[in-house]
Amino acid sequence: MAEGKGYNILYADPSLCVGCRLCEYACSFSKEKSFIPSLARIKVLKLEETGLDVPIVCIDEKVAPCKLACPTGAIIKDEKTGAVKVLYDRCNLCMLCRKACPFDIMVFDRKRRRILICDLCEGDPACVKICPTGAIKKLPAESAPYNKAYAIASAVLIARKAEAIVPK
Amino acid sequence: MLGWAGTILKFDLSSGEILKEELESSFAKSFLGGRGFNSKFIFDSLDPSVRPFDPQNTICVSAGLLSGTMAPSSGRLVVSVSRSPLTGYFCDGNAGGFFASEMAQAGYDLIIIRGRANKPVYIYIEDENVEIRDAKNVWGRDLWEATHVIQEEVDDLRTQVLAIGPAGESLSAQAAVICNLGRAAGAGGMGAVFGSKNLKAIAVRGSKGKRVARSDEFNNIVLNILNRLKQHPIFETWSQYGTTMLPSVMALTGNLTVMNWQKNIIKDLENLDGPSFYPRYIVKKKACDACPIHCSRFYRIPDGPFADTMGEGPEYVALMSLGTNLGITRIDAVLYLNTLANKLGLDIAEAGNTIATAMHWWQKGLISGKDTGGIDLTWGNVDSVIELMRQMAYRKGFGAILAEGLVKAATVLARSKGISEEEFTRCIYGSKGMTLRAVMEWREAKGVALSFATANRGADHLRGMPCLEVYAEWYGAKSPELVREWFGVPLEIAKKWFSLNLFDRNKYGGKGYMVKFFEDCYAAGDALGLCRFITPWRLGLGPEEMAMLTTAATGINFSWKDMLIIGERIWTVEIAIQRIYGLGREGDYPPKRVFSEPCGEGAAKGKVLDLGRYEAMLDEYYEIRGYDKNGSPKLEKLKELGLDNVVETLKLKGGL
Repeated sequence: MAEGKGYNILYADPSLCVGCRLCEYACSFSKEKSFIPSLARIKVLKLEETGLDVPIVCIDEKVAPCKLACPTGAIIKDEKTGAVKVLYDRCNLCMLCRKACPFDIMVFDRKRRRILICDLCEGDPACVKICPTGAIKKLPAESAPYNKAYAIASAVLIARKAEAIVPK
Repeated sequence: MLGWAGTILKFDLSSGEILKEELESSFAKSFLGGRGFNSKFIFDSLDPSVRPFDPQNTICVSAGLLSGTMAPSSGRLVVSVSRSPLTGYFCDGNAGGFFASEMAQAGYDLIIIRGRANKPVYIYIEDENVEIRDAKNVWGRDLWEATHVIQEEVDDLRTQVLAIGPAGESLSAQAAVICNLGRAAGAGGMGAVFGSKNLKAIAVRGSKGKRVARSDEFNNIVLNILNRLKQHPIFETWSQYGTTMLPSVMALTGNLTVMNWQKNIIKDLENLDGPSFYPRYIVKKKACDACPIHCSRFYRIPDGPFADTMGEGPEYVALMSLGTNLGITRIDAVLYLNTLANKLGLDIAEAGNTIATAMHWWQKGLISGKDTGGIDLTWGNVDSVIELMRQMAYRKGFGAILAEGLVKAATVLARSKGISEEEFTRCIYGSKGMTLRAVMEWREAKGVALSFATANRGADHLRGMPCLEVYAEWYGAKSPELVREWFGVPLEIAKKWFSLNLFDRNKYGGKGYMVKFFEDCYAAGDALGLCRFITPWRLGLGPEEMAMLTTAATGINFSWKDMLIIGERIWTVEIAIQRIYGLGREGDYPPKRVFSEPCGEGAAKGKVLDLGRYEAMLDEYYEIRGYDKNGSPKLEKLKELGLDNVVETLKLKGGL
């Protein structure tokens, strides 16, 4: 497997995110030709009382839980780009992949009855291009192992700085 | 019809009836959306006998044509009422945040609310599913709690909630409606109209998406604009500090307002300047929907008496209205007041200016501790401001008198004290019953002065302030080409301004051209849902870019001149409403004070407005607009704008 070599992953930094959601628009437009954030493969979570904006992306880690969970082999990893892909003819919509995703970032398109996952836009992600603060980056997979941890840690740090009272 | 969400949603809270109507295409093309839809709808259904708290007073809530798309800074919401409890006339408020785009995503361009529910309710909209729900769990709560409880009730934190606080429930004339906890449609006491209808909030969630007619073209235009924005000379600073960079700049031009507009300078101003308070108080940067500028910020007070207070803001208006204009220069106090106002659901500008006026009355000895219930209204007394704000929101004590609005409060106090009303009203710095929301100087730049007075919803900068009169020089925009490049003013218009020397702030002549352009251009921007900061106000999307975006979104060709005509049409409809209410030329004057009292200490010291020259400037402005001497639109003008039904209505209702 070519995992970790030669391909990139997405890294979204909550400390730089200003919560404008341009990435959701750009993502949905590049995939659906419509401005439909509900089908965006990236989500910006906003915790308003603490001012926190957390962009959640699929970071296509080496061990994709969605891929492991899929009973029909419908989720594969593209060897070239490293992105997770769904083979729709094999998918039986059991939703196990969605349950397995630690970030609940997979989207179910109710209208067309299909699972949507970030495919890194064939190596040139629309969200990275549109982000006005550089909060979403494309990084080499070699640097991957700790990036997600850092992203979460910095979110927690900002929340602590703002003395987070996340609604119960 | 591509480009628009396509549906108008109508509520009658008295009967509980909910109607969905398809958007009509000629209405859509002529008024585009947002403020255009609201104003025209209110005009068409106007009943001049309706009072502010009558069930039949209409609330219109609308998203812009571009809201819910990737167009930059396009998520502005417009809330209008046919009668404002503050001014007694037509009024609207404009808010950022995420409500407008969510509404467009749910499929609605315009929400119309009439009637009065027999118990507290809130409206819940999730795409097709529309309900009027019992608000027993949220009525009586502060605005932040109410927002949360509703989000919990519908079990979705992404649901956008536009709510009122205690101020709206108690029908305070300074009540705002607020979304995203701090994004207020503040002008005109809209919150009280919600309150009078027993309507606590509107919650909306949309997942339908928004399609544009020429999608690739639209996308390319947006990407081009985003690239260009980043090259703009002011982009860096503006995205970093936003309006918090303004206090020191305003002081330099003599536009800072101190102690109810008595001076233009104050000691320790640097405390309120973004660059000096950012490191200690600002946690992170914030943006509204689809906004690359992200001028907003989130604060947390680390220590002191207000420790752990958090919130979004403050904007320049808060730094003035809750700061210098009250004689306060403690930033932690201003931040605390900012949060408090949002929780109470008070409009920061009107509430702050109202207290400033009361402090001015106190300074002049017109009122004393006996009238205020022992509250000491000395300039800069933070505790008193906090107490008075609570009183205004809950209608208690002295605050209950102020909650009627300054004009009524002046009458009540004058009568009870046996002092002439003139003494009280002289301190009110505003027009059409609204204090100057700009919190800038009225006597400094003459075009700005005209725009504050002609602003058709009440004394306001957002209606038509020709910012470039004040800023162009400061930016170094010294040629028509630069004015076009940086601010988006079409070359033809910029050239005219230069040939008439309109950038001279002390000049009266010709300013009507500038003011009309800005009024029309901003009205078009409000119809599209664009933020002021991305119009010629600051970072310069002008009518040309607006036309390109509108064309690509709708597939109908619009030129930049069309955009200005649409703006003019909206403006004129609004004027027609005010004229039917009987508000004529006399409403388009600044407060008397600015003609007789020169500016106090500061860079504008000694400047005063000359009444005779102001009258001439106003005459010229009306002429440029195609209005008569009383400021009413002439028949030819109405016909030229395609407003034939306005002609008929004006004739019937006595406005023509």
